[in-house]
Amino acid sequence: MNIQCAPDSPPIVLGTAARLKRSAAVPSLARRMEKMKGVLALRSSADKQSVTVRFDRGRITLASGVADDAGLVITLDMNDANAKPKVQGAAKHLAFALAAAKVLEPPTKSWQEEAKAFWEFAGDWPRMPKSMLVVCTDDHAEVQFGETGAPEFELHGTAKDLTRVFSGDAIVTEEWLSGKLHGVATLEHASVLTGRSIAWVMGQGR
Amino acid sequence: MNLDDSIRVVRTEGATPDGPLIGKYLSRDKFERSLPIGPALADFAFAYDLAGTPQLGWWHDWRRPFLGDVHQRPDLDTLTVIRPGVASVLVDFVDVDGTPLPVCPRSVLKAVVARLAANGYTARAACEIEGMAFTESYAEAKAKRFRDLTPLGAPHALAYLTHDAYRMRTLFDEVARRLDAIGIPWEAWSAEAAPGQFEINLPAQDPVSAADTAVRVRGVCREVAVDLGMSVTFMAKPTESYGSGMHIHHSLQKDGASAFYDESSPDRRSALMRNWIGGLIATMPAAHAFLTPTINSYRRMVGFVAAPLVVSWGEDNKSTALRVISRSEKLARVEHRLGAGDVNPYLGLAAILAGGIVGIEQAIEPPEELRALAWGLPDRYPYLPTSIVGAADALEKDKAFADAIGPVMAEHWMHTRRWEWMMFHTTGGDPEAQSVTDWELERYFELM
Repeated sequence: MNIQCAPDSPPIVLGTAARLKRSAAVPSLARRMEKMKGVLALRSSADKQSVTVRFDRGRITLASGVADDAGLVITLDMNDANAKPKVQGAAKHLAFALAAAKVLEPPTKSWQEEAKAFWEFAGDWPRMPKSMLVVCTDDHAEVQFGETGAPEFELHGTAKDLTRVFSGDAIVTEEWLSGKLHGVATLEHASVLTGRSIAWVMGQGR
Repeated sequence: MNLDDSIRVVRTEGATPDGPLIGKYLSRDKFERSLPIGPALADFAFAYDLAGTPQLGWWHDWRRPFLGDVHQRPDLDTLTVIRPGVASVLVDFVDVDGTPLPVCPRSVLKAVVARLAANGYTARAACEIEGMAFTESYAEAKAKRFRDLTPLGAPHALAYLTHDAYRMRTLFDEVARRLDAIGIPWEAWSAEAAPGQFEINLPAQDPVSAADTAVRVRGVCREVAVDLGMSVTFMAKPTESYGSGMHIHHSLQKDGASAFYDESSPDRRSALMRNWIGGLIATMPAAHAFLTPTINSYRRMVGFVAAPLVVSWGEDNKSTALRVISRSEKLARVEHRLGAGDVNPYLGLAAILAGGIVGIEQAIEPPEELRALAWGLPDRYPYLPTSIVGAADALEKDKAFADAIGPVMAEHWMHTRRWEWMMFHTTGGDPEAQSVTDWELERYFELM
């Protein structure tokens, strides 16, 4: 599988490439991607961002903007994970549309596994907290990463919201500021963790 | 200290890295009690972007782990009465223990000047300020979303028209009067090429004073515009016409004589000047991040309309990034032409001097002089980064330049430029737009 975009691409391009890489790591989706051929575009309804994705039987290239030859154009609210997307061209390219819907929504693992993967990516970064306690408010299950003892950073949320953040579908601070997550942190740790979370969403470490 | 008895209020003001001046109006009593460290501000004043969004993602030791204070230490040599009973003083931002903040632009420039002095040289610098003026007030301009504004003066795309300048006199006669009244030096003003565009030429001073003068002149222009119900912006490209730059002339002296001039050299350039040019050229992609600081700055970089596009220098060549003048000792200088209209004068000057310092400390020889127009050149010429992230990447790679301007400042700036890029894309900027966007006008028009 070859997924390519320019390194200075806009966030929507990098983020979409990251999601495709996550799907490519799942064998059944990788097989599906190897067969896909077509051009789709994603357009944000919340701002001016858009990306064109060209599938050519395992060779995938992404670029900013909506290409004229995009057979499938999906418009979605990037700020609302629950919003229903509007799709143009699905009737004409039904099989491609169904495959695209699958590979653009990579499956997630449990919040514990996603948190572990994030910590392995970010834990050693300079100025990161030495320990992070994650608490699931659904069942009060908790996992501490890094050093033992009193945690330097705590994050509390539902399994769904924790999974979104640690899988790279959302940025930790946005979820914290919106009230979906709660935390105990210094500004330093919150800031550095945000930097790592942004990098994770944009595909670093994938 | 001896404040004039008539002063009741003192305004403290200092530039943030993005450029806007921040500070407080203090009663005389409070101001005097705050000395020498000056009044406190929340340190978050240095951690917001221009839309007021907290910048997150990195950290430096000057910030408090929760939220803390920084102080505005007044430079009393800059205290001046700006209107009856009210004085203004420029400040350096310092930590609670008085240590200069490593991201305070004025302190960064002072540190670079000190490093130049340690090499045995002093510098003189002069800024050319370009901006645009409109007949609408700021409120009216905002109501029109800063589009289709009426340029002050005549709508001709011709420079230097005195007839045009006459139609701008209401604004600039008052600007000149106020500058004279408060003792801020200026040399000339004129109508420039774009409709509503003007240029103000400032005299050569030591670098910190030159930057102080530039920020104060910009401030006076804005205040006069407010008082007259007009608007002024120093955005690099607020309209579709010519953009605005800030060319920065500078020279070096040693023992009171020009360090750039050598009568015995065939080209009359001293070895020092060659190394200085070599350093400016070698560090130009990194310095570009400071000299071309915003998303909007890059819209000015269009060929054949004054802004330089390639890393280049030439004798009396106004198409190159560095216009070198070496025909006499009195005139020997470099005009750095890369600065955009929205450059922070402190950081722009610091970036230029830091690049030159790298050149003299590493004895860098410059590439061959460009004896041609520096526009429309083929790919083999070294084009400058064309985006804010491209320049941030160049800054990240240039360790010698970062060391000269200050590693914390360099790293902070690299992060904030990438932040600016991310905000453009994720808060409504149009990456496909070929001209100035609503996002840029909303973000920069009133603050730059």
